[in-house]
Amino acid sequence: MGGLAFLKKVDIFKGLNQKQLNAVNKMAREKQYLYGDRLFAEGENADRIWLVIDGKVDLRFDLPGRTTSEENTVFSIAECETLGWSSFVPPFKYALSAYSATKSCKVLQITKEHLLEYFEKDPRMGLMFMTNMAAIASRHFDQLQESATVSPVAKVKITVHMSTCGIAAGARQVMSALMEEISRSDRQDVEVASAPCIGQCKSEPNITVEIGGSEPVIYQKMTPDRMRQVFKKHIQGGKIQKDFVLSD
Amino acid sequence: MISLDFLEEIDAFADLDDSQLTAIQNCCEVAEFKRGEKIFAAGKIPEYFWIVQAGQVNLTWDMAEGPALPENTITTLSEGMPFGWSSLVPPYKYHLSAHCASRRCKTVRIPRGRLLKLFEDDAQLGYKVMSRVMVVVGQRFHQLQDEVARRRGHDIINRW
Repeated sequence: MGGLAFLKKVDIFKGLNQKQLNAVNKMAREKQYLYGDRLFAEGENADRIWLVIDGKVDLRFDLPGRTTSEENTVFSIAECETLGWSSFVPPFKYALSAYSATKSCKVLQITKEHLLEYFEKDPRMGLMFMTNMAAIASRHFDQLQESATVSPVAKVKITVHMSTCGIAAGARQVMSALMEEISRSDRQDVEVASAPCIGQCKSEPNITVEIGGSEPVIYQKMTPDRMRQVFKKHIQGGKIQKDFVLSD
Repeated sequence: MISLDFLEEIDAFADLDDSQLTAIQNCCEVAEFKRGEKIFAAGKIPEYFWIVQAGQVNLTWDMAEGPALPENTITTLSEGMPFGWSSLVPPYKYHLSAHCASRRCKTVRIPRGRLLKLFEDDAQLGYKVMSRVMVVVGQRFHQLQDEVARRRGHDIINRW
């Protein structure tokens, strides 16, 4: 078991005294996972918190019908860090999936039921725990904002202009075709964004392609087929598809 | 003065008894805003915990300095809904910006220093409020997650 020395270092129990840590120690159950094992899946009932003793756990956005991938990792939970705050937030379902990201990964599980029972007797411990947990969720909030705005490996940015007029003209189908092509190509350096209309309703759906530091290229009247062609020939092949480029 | 009737209907203060509600009541201030007016900005150090008393408030994810864009709205809050949870949670920094989204909006604001002092003096009050605040944090996280999925285009795939 992680023991008191470990619990003292865990973020969620910051500020707890010896007696409170002893109580936590009695509630904890140790488990071990191998690389790639799933600790829990997005949408599953959340009824416990997890403390990482050894190794690393990745929290990922899993796409339906696809195998999990490291590129969908939103954040990694390292030793002495906690996951599973969803167990204290309705609808009490995990918001992300968790996978062991190291050869082996040792964790402690503590059920919410046991913790709440203890907090009733010791509200000061409950206050510290809730404040620490909110701080962890706050950190995840920051990381999620960062992961959505910065893609460290992205060399290509494709923006689909998805305002009402764009959607009416078929922007969603274009986006779907784009996502399929990215998935097939296995490219990990493509960032996809949606953005409002560019003020050229007659030419919708529009997309903007930005590769490295080069000038953005705006394509017009996109269809799924045109999107596939642009992906294969411009993104993959480097050749701008002049026939589809929006003229000034 | 803000009534106890109003405060006891606020989710964040559910389960508090009258003396605890009175302690919170004594810290409340009222602030009014006009449409589009900024209530607070992301990145700033929070001074208050907020509740919408009347009207609507938009929480927006601003990508840069500039006007609040409707497409950056994470959620719209109406009467009785709390916001500004970052004021009670380390590292005490607003993650989103808040703007008045109706012609006028009336808010109740509680200086964070006074609220944290109440928590210190009455741990049971603090525990109850922070348990509810944790729910607000989680809800905002889920709303942000939806927005991130939309921006990434994953929502399109999810609808399949």
